[in-house]
Amino acid sequence: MSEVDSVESRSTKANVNRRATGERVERVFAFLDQLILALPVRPGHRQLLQIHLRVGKERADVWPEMSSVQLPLLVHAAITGDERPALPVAGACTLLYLGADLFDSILDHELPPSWQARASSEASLAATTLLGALPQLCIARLQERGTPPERLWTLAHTFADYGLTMGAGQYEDLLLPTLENVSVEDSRAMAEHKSGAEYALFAAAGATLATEDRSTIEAYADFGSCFGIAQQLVNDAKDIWGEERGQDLLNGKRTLPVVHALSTLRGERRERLQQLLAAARGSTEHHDGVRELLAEAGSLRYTALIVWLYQQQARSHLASASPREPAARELYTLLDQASILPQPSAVQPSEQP
Amino acid sequence: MEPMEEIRLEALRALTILAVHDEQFRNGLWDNLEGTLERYGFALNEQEMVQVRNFIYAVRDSVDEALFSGLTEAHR
Repeated sequence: MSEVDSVESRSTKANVNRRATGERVERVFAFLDQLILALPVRPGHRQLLQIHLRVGKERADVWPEMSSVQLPLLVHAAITGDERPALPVAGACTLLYLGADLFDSILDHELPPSWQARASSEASLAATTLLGALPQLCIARLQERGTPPERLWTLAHTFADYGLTMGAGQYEDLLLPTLENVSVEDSRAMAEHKSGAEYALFAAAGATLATEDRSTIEAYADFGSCFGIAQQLVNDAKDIWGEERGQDLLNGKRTLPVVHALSTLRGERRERLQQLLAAARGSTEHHDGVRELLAEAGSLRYTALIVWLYQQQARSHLASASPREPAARELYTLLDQASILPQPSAVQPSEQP
Repeated sequence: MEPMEEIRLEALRALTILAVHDEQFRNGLWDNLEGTLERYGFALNEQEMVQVRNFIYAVRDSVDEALFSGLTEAHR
């Protein structure tokens, strides 16, 4: 194949992937729209659920790689060659993601604009319904499609197990800012419990519907866990250094870059960082000072290393599951994006002949 | 792009554990990669070593100098 042919072929494949990624978003959110419309609840309650479904859809339109949509469908296709039967599973995963996201936003005082005219009790009610009732209703839809009861039970148990671990991670997220000393391992473990478990669930749920083979399900769950940890650490770095900074410094979060700097700096520099972190909770004017000390400690570089190690572990777990094409390529592409290193520039549609 | 050869999982796990728990190890990776890996008993094959080296060099070149300073300066 000539270089030009090769570039055109890659560009065509990238476009096909982009289209398929976007179509999955449309299918999953259409499924959830219908599910919520059919719920036997009062219109006001339904409206609350629809608010956060719209928030999720807007986010997925900007970021169609949303893992709760893509992972269950792609993992199912990587095992069976067909992603369509996993639509209710992707729906359940997306509802769980939206519910957890809404709770996280309530706790971090970062509610999206659509919620700002609403009482936080209404947001809490929506989060509870999204987490507590709707994923199970999605899974129940599989019964109508002929999924055996024992498989449904395994799926329900999978959601409960990983949901509990995610809750433990959320608890650690709240606990660590209150502790005097937090180790790098504490921060890593929190990322594993919070986001590792979430992505592990998305991958394991797709695999559980596709096969009874335990080693295959475990390989995909391990892939998801490592992918989720890498993605969480990328998000933590973006929250401090990215273009759209979040609230982690204002909320006193002990994310990996901060904890690494606290464990690396010594003496007066460490004391200075502690003072700045305390001041950074009250005002963003101290955030640049925090960033300077994190730079001095090499904390972004260190976070990039840990992200890369988990990304490579995820690759290894995925390879061990021998995923089918074309889903395999899409899973590797999603994983490649969980990196702190600058991404190789993709071929944009406008750049094509 | 051809898929890269995977680094053995047990090596990745050991690297991760040391990078999380051992400050001397993580500092050594940036200052003296080969010597640090040897001192801690890693026997990576040539392809694995190339991948680790490429990553460490890419981070040293892009994260600290370009990406990092770009991200911090852009918001001052």
